[in-house]
Amino acid sequence: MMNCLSTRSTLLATPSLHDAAVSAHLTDCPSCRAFAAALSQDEVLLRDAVNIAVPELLQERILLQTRLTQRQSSLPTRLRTWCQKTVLHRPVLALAFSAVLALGIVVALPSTDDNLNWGEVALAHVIAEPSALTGTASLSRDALATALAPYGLALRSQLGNQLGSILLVEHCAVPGGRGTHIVLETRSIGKITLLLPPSGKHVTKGEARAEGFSAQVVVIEGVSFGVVTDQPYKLSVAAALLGAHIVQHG
Amino acid sequence: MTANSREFELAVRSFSGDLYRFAFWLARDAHAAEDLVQECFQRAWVNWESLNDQVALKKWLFTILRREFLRRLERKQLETVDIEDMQLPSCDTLGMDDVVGLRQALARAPAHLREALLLQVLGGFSTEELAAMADTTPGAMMTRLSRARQWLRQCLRGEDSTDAVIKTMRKI
Repeated sequence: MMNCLSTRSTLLATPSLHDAAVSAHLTDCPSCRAFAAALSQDEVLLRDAVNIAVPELLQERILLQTRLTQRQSSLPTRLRTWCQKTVLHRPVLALAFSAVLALGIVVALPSTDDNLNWGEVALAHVIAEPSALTGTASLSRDALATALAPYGLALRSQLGNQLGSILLVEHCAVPGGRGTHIVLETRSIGKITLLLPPSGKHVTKGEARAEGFSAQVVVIEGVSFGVVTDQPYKLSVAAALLGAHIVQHG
Repeated sequence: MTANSREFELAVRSFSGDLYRFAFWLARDAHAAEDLVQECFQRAWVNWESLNDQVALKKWLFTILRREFLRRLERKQLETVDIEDMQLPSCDTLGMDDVVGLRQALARAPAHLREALLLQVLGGFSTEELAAMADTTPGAMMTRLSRARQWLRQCLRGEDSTDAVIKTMRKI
């Protein structure tokens, strides 16, 4: 048989647990019943109090850190350093990087696109996939035309050789869905990487530089291209090349 | 993605929120809290293969985080936070004053009382589980939890439940 002191002590320790002895005492003691009711209300407040907001994209940063650890042996040291110093502290970059490392997992955009600098996303993508720049096999012009079609774009009929060889055309995970990753070997400025956002998705223009790469967003016929080169001056040349060879479909 | 990776990702999505909250109230600092959670999951991932019991996963994660917090505290790797300078989260719920007051009281509570209460409220662990995690007896843990709530009530209302009972008994 419990008394008021032992009942209240038990309730204070485990407010939601009313064993038979506690329940029996509460049945007979209005004062302790009132105490139990007040304690229940306090418990609701306590749960509200401890339930603070969690930092944005915390889960993605945790998963990215783990994926970096998994891939640690295969990532160059300077890439690991860049990731640790920069990517992990920039939620959107972490998202982009994580998406690439996860290879195929579609990730959701943050609730606002305001901080989605597509130049940074393109740069992160290139750095995360160094193997994309090592290929030498050339794809057909049709592969590039097919990739551009969903964006309402086409290649100018007189392509010539100035746009160069098409080394890679791939759909890949990017913030917001699936984007298009293109690598070209141009005659004038060597390899350039293009990263297109998911079709119809608005992104913010911006620039980025890291690990010997430079990136910026170029808008061609209303479509944003993340352009990445190995020299800053090549960005404007790449922009001019793309403007000369890509037109609106139809 | 491997089965382990899938399970790990599910664990991150399921438990990172409450682990962050636990870390925040332990360290009383948002950056330290995030570091603790990152480290917790890093350690968990490294030892993921050794986890045989998915049911005990939550307890395992909270234990890892708690130990990492204590380790950093011991090595003075956590900056002490002046309660007056602590950035307590704002609150826009009804009963705002009570919640704000409760947060302030929680931040000021003695560490061992605060930790026990947080593990119970955030983790949902039983008294027996809490006792095992804290390397103490269930009876001692019951006392700790009771004192933690008394502390909060005292801070909020200046009310001591023992005094209230004694006053009631004297009326009889």
